[in-house]
Amino acid sequence: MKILEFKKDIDNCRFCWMCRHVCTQGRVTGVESHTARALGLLLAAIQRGAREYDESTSERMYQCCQCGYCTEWCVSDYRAAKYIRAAREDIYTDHYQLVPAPVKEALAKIKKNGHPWCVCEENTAKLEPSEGGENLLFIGSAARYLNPKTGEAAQSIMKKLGKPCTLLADEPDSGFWLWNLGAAYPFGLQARLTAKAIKAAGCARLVVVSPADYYLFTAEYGDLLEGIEIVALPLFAGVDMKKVIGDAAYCEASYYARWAGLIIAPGCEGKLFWNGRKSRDTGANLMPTYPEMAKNIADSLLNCAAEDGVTKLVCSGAENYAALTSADTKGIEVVELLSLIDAAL
Amino acid sequence: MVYSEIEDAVGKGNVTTTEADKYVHSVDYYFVPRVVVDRGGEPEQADFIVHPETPEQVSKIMQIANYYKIPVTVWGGGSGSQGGALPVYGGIILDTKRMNKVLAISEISYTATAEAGIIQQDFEWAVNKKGYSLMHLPASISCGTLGGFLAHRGTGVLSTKYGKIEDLIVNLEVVLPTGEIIQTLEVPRHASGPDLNQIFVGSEGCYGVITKATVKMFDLPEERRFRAFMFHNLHDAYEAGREIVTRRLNPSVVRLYDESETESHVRKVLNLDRKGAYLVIGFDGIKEIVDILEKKAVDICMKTAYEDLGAEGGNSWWENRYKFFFPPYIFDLPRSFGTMDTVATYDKMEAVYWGMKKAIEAEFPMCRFIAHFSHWYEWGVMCYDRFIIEEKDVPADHHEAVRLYNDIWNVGMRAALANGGLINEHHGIGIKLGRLMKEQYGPAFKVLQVIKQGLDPNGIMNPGKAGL
Repeated sequence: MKILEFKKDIDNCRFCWMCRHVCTQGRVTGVESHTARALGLLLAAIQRGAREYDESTSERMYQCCQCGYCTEWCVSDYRAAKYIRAAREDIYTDHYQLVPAPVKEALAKIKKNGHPWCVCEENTAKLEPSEGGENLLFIGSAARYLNPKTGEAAQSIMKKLGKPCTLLADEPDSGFWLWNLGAAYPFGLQARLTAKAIKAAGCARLVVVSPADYYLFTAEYGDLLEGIEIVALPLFAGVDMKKVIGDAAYCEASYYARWAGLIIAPGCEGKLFWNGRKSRDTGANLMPTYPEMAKNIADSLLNCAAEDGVTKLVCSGAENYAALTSADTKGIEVVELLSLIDAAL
Repeated sequence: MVYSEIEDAVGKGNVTTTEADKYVHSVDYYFVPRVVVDRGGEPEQADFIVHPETPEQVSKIMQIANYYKIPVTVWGGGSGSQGGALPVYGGIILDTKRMNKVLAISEISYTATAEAGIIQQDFEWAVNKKGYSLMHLPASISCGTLGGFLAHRGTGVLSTKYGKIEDLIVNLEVVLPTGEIIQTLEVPRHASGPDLNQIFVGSEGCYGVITKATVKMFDLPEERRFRAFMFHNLHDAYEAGREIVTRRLNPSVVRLYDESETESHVRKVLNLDRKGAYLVIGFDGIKEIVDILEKKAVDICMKTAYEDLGAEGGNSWWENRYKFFFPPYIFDLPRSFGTMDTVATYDKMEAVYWGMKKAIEAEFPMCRFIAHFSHWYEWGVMCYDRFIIEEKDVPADHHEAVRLYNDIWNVGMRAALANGGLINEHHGIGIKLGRLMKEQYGPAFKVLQVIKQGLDPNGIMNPGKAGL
């Protein structure tokens, strides 16, 4: 049981409520069993053999939007979002029949395309083939297919920085969604494949576009990318983020990127509507599986932004941009950070 | 059949019977369901979890429940420590958290109105945005709902100046057990008969469902200041606190930790390496006035304190005031523990404290008794005393663990009553203390029972709670 690695976290979270007010999904739905405490309570009983995984428990584990604010708020740093993801691994590996239907559908798409997004000519990033230099630019599936302008901006940034880079012609997926949805074994296979392709390019540095991919490469790939320096493109660009973002409100990349220590716009935290706001998570993590829930989360964030008089909202990551623009933006201009950086250079 | 009727009343998606939902609504902050699940048992569960979004939907649920004689238990945050939100007779859990909007903020009348299912922190943030505070700031602000605090007469860390929740209420909307939606009078001070607010505040869901409330609002203070002191013993610190309050220096907070709690808990959470009783005082207000009040209070404290820890000592407490409630700082399983908050007049409280301490430690030598005094009034003070039993002394069988737990409560609370204290000050009665209500009230308990019978003739509203 993967959740046994988190026994201490689960045993401490199961009876505690101190992070309820920052639980994105719990606040938007008002459903008790969406909160870290409730999910910890269920897993504690499963760990003790008092309960088994069942359909409803499985569904709740997959409905966590993985924003990580529970851990961020906790004075003891208990890893609720991580044990919830670990539960997904247990469900996928040992109780596949309980994986919710929307998750199975997403996994089927991932099996076909390597990612859950729709692939069509008009919605694919127009990228020029590129080879050479010490940098390998890893675009990622979201920046290629979900918000192609992010992928195009990424390549443009590298050009403007005068950094020659290699683009993998048939860039394999990082495996983020496999990992996120608990498909441990397929993720392991994908990771090896992707690492092999990256290493074969012979570059010393991997410049990553997606914050989620950055986390995966640095934290979950183990030593597969040993010897390769991994950097996040927004930071690699070396621009003054305060100047780039200006007076706009800023939505930092949520979930795992921050756990990888990736604070993309240091000094812009004051612009985050945190502490008094309904959450700054965009719901991106639920787009492939529970799009309606993702939209409700994005709506909640945009409502708060609108109440605050925000007219321009910058977000980091193609997924976050897609999540926000799939909701009613209430007249707020939503901009993805790499596009701003590209324009600023 | 019933499911269909409930679904018709609240809409699809607002009622659930899933295993996960029923399970998580069977454990609140009360020790008993916790030890049950910890030992692999299953606590009592509801049959339906219902999420109404309006008082009209609540009314329909109550009508259905009355017709079929189905118990209804109200669940706000589910963070009560007394078992008040547990569905001990099954039936319907009425989860209020979808009724969570801020409805009005009046900067003229200094009031704010919200639906009762709002998490208190959300309500606080909403008024903070305009430069105000509700000044109801308990540790459970992150998880408890406005309705929950009203239902059990909750309190916050600054209650000494701003009041408990029953002091902060202006008016309420309540759905009665028979389904009528009522509003109490617009203002709480009048001569139009008894105060209806105070019938429902503290009723713990037994008299109806609070669906909306208007509460007082305050300016964020120009100056907020804290200071801390060390005393050699509890009595000296207690007398200092009493003098500060009874001389009407109007502190925002007086918080006194006895020697045991200072040694064990304050040391751990605040890294304070001192022996004796630790006292925190605070003042809110206009700077010049705070200067004067603080000076007076310091003079009082320094008559007997052995150390002035200064603003740093006080600010440390304020900044970490909620840290005490996060694991691993909070007492929790595998220990057995209980918070026996009681309240008494000043002339009796020390006797209450020592009476409880001696009774518990004598009869249960494995118990550790610690206390702090956190909510002070013009006439008396509450004592937040706790017993703790280490894991090795807690029975493995959960029935035995609960039996021991209840025995300690009986001894402790009866010691409080015998010395002039009450059985609870701000956590409520729930299941935990229901058996002691008649002892405490004597013949006066009939009044509460008759109200219950009148409002809830079928006895469906949160049955088994508050001794009713």
